[in-house]
Amino acid sequence: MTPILKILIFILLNISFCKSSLTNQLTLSDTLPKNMPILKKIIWGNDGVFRKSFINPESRMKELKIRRNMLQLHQRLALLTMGTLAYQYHTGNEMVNNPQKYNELKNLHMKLGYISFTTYMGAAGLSIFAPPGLKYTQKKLTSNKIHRYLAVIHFTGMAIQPWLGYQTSVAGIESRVDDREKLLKMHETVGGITLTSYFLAFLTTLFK
Amino acid sequence: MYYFLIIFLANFIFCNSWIIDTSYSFINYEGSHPFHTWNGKTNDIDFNINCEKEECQMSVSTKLESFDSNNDSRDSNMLYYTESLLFPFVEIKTEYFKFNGQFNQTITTLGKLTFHGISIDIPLNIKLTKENENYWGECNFNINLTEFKVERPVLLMMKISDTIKISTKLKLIRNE
Repeated sequence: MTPILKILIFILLNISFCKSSLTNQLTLSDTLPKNMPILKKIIWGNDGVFRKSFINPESRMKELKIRRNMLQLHQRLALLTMGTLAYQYHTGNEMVNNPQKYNELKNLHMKLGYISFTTYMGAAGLSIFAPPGLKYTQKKLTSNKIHRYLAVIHFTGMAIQPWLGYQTSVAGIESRVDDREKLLKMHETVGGITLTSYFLAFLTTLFK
Repeated sequence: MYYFLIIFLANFIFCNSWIIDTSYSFINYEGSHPFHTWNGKTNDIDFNINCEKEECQMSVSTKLESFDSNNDSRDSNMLYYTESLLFPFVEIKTEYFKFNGQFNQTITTLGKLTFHGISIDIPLNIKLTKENENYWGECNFNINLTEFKVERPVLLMMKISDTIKISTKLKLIRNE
């Protein structure tokens, strides 16, 4: 075998091995699940909003680490929110059942509202904006899907509760008795639905 | 001509004498947390057995991605902690063990389990049974995540148990 032929074979082998190692590297599209939820696609899809911004970690491994940290914080904030919401619900009930305690508890109920709203929206944001995971199921009903469906209910409740609370308080100050009664009933009902759906969503994380 | 003969003979000697029916076979893992336990299951199993006379060596492997625990968030988490992008497969390869085609016996051997890029020898008891002309192979063992340098996931500020229970049941079909 002539030296030139040897060199030629060596170069060809080198090129072929280089090529195979390159093709073995995973691209972003390879690791992004095709069936990820629409919201994740909009934010973190191949052409998602965050992909074109400075937020893009430009490494799927880094992205998954960020996701892990965001979801850990989501759990902590969500637990804090659950405690605050339960306490707020209790003070709200006390205000309705013992009108003599109304003025005493009014400020506490409102402050708890600020805290629960802030921690809730923080926890929700961490879940919504977290980079996509590695797998999304095609199944219609899984504990995680129930968790998400319940989230739509309690998110809606959390979005309208501050407005309902404020309107109830204003109706009371302006002595609009009928309005206040109606608004209070709504505030109470929405609060009950929100807390129940929130608690059920928490329970789904413990399902088998 | 001799090459063809050697290849043919090698093929004949090393060919799989048994295959598995993946629709009835499964590998299951069970994890636990102070609040609950869960299972992840897969039927996507690659099975190989090579026998030379009565000495056999078996290997079973699967893609981590194929495990389904009925919760995509949990599966996704499992894939993150096991670094499935770097180590997508889990495989166990036994040492050579004696198998004369007889069922209703338990075979004791060692298996090299490769998971998360780390290989550890694990003692195995493979239970072979025959039920109504169906052949089954069952094997259960435990692994510790820390031994495989897998960080333990945290749920509600509590780590999951270090021990993961593995159970495997394979429906064997004689490859004739």
